[in-house]
Amino acid sequence: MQSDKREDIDILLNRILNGEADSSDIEVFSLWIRDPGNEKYFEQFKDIWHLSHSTLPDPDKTAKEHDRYINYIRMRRRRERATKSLTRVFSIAAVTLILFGLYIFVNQYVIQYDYTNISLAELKYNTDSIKVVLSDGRVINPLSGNSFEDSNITESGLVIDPVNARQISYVPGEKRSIRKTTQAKDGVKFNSVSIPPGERFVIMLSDSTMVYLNSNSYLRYPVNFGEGTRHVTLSGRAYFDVTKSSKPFIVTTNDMEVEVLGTSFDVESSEAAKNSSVILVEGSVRVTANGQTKVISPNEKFTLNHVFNEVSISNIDSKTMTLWKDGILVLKELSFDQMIESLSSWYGVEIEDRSTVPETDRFNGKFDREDIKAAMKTIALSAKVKYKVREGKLVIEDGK
Amino acid sequence: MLPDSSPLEYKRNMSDAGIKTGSDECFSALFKEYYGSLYSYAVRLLADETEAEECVHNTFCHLWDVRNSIEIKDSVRSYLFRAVYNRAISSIRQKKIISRYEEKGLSELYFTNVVQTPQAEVKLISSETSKIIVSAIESLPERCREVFVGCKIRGKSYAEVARALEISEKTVENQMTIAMKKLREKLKWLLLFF
Repeated sequence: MQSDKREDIDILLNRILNGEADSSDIEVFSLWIRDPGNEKYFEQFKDIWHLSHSTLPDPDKTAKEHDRYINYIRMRRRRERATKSLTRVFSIAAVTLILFGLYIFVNQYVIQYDYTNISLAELKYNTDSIKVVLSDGRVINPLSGNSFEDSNITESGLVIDPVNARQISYVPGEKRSIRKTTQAKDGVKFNSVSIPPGERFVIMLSDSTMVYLNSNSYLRYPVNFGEGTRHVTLSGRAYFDVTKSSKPFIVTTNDMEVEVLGTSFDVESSEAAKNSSVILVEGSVRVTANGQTKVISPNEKFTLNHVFNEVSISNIDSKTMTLWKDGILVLKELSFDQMIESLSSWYGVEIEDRSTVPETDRFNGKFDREDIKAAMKTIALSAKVKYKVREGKLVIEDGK
Repeated sequence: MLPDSSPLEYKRNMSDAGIKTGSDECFSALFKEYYGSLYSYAVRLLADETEAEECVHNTFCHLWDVRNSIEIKDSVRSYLFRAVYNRAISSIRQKKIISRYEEKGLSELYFTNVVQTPQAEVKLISSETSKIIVSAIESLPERCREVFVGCKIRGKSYAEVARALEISEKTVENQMTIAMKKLREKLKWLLLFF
């Protein structure tokens, strides 16, 4: 036995079994293993590898997972009993619970579970305001109503919509009596907007591009787009309706760059979230993320998964998935935790989840903006949970 | 002696019967019996502890959900290993590593030779072989074992192992020869490997 050769082969086999092999390793391996003797060697090598890489969970983890499993069983058993009368509506075997169309059944159940007496009057809504930061660092709140009466504090070109205070627009520079020389000297001026939970906001940029900002979002943009590319920075979620132009429009997030000429699309990227995504409604966009560039077509969704650091493209109904910009929250295939997080951000309330709804359950739903009460009734019914208000927070607990 | 002899046979039948009843005790016992080895298997398939945890959790959840309709032809143990494997395979197909095999038209090689099949895993962990190999390695003198583990199991080169243990490459080579000689004496039937 030549130790040198064996040594090299052992290193290669380890790479194969660790999943670290590159293309050339795989090629070498595929030729090497054709030899029956080598194949036998590999079988034994693999046994040793598996035996020595066996990581048993520590007792704490086993105990924790055991309890989680038993909880799951109890929860499911409770639900099976409770849902017997509802079998016409629910297909229990398919874990998915459907919220759509459930409103019809809400009323009769509300009486039975007595949700009518739950008062949400004490619920505290988020009180942070929408903030517009001007190029000189001053901050205005467009909702406060008096910010634009004092003409001194507005940015040149910035107009707050007189009818809808949740909308501002920027008048293009050429139409104003701004001396171009001054602007060139100053460089490009930037403004930014921060949207707190429970709020949404619309900005018309100087090129007439419309930007719809969802709650928990931030956008930084030039007061006036210069000669080159149109460039904005986003954190959170926004829907863009970009005005066609020969100058590319680029959205930069923490982890992606989205480039278009003129089109409608939705970008979501926040540091805390598991995924970032781009949804295309019409036209075409180029997304660069994780060192890869992809062009996506209408009704496609580009997803960057931070856990596996992978990108993927899936087909979706882009009109439905971007309804939030019109004030309708659409939830699709979300776990209970994800759904609660979406609702908390959408309605601007703090929610404490003490329930044990199984991770594997999936929820769909469509809620309008006006009232969290209707949403909570539907959720309580379909997820078999109770809710109450404590110290301004919404607390969710397992049903009986 | 085959591992699936009478005591295990008895336990197996008991579990199978219990599955239909859906009692907490039965499912709790099943979980305690198999969680560790299934988790260990899933970690090696997926190379990710969090994913492995979810994979095994969902496998057990599914077993409870389908307890009334399930037909287990062999044993609950074989069923569970197979179920973990099937679940893991669908996420393995999404992973980068498999695409490198696919590029070369070698995904067949990955699934037949590289991936640990549930049959192989069950056979391995229930065989006497595993205990003998582990105890043989453990019985090596300390330095000898370190060298062997470094080279054979961790897949390091002689030079790397020499550096890590602060010994010369020549010593690593000598220790490897000693380790092989000792193991060959203990594990005569594993002639090829050692």
